[in-house]
Amino acid sequence: MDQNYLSLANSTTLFLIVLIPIIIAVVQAILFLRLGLSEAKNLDIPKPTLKKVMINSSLFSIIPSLPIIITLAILMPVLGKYIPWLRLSVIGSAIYESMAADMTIKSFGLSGLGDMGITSSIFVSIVWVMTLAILVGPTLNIFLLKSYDKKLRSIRSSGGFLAVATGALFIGMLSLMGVPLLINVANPLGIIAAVTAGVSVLLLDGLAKRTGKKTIGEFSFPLSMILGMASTIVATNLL
Amino acid sequence: MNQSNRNYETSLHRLGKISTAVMLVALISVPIVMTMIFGIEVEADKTLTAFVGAFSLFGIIGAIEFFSYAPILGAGGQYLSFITGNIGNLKLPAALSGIKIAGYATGSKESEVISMISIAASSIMTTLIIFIGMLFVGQFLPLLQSPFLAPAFSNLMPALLGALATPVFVKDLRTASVPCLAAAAVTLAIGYPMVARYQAFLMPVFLVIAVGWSFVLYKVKRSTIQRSAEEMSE
Repeated sequence: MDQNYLSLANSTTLFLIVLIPIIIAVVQAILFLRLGLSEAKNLDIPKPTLKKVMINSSLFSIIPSLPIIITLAILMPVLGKYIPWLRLSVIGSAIYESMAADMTIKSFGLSGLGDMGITSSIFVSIVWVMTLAILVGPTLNIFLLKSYDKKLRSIRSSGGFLAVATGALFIGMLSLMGVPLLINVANPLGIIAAVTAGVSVLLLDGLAKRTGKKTIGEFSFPLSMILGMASTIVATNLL
Repeated sequence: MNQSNRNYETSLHRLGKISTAVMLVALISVPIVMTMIFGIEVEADKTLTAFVGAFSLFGIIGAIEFFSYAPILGAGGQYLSFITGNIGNLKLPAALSGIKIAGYATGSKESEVISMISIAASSIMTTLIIFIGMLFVGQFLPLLQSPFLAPAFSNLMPALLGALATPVFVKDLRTASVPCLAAAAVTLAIGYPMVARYQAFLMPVFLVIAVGWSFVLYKVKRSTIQRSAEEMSE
């Protein structure tokens, strides 16, 4: 293995290079948050509601972020610390990044992620491919989102069926994402997790309504997700 | 459209376009600066081959996601989530949960703003956790991969979607019935691994099925209301 590439991949210089886009991502989120809060004021959305939404979103994000750390750990021995950190913090996802890196390594005639023959040149190629292949969505946002959004707004404001179609889109998306997991008999623990989480959220929402304790309803989603995950631990130890 | 609405939309798209463009330049600068600072020569032909392969897959997925997510996340949510990524497992659930807590109808102006605020809060938290994870991965990993916790993390997505989708389906069982049956039929026909692999490509099909079926229900409901009104007037 070309030792230079790993020392390069874990160098302070690379840390500083990747730090810039990560800082931009955080600044962007803060700017959007500010814009959202000021528009919420114009729309008379109560401050306590906004506070609840922000706390809930932040707390919910903790658990699903943890598997990203596992992907980070898987990619680190091959790509060093900083490139996986960048790619998983900005635009990327665990699946896309692993696949893009694997495809590049294979195009150099190596066996894929984990191959010991990676050189500094291959490493930079991986960074090029990981970066460029994933830019379609944001690029379309720059050139087309304004006009697409305008169209969507005019459809909604025209009333009638099209005004309620967003709810249907929502259901369509969740049905494709959720139902296959629910009937995937090859992974019974997944079914247990989905059913437990689904039943829990209904029970917690019902309890919130019955007792009038809104806090239960506000945290029913993250709590149910954790209960669903916990049920797999119980099932593994019982079965 | 009033002046305040127009100002907000102008500011939103200006911020979205500028910040996305700045981010794209910053991202592309990473390999450029690496090549320059470290003086490494890249094998252009092999890199291009890998790029074409990856782009043909991720490019199409990116285009599909662009059209699919915008009506649900809203423009602000879309600009943000397309920069920070992890949409299906983090940003979308955060937005939907935020809308549910705030109690606004999906597609409303308020829900769009709530979606954006939720995604922004989620993005900041996720970036922070990944940063801490990067610093202390050695300490975290034994815990995250321990045999005791492994089943829980392996089944995070079923738990997340169970908690997210169930109330939505229960609230509107009639609209959910056909898309859910279609998802079950496709899964039984081609198997879960294929559905998971081609989820991005199947998404537009399912959006059309859901909207089409919802339209049928809407028409039936309207004609029933019309019929009863006619009967009443007679």
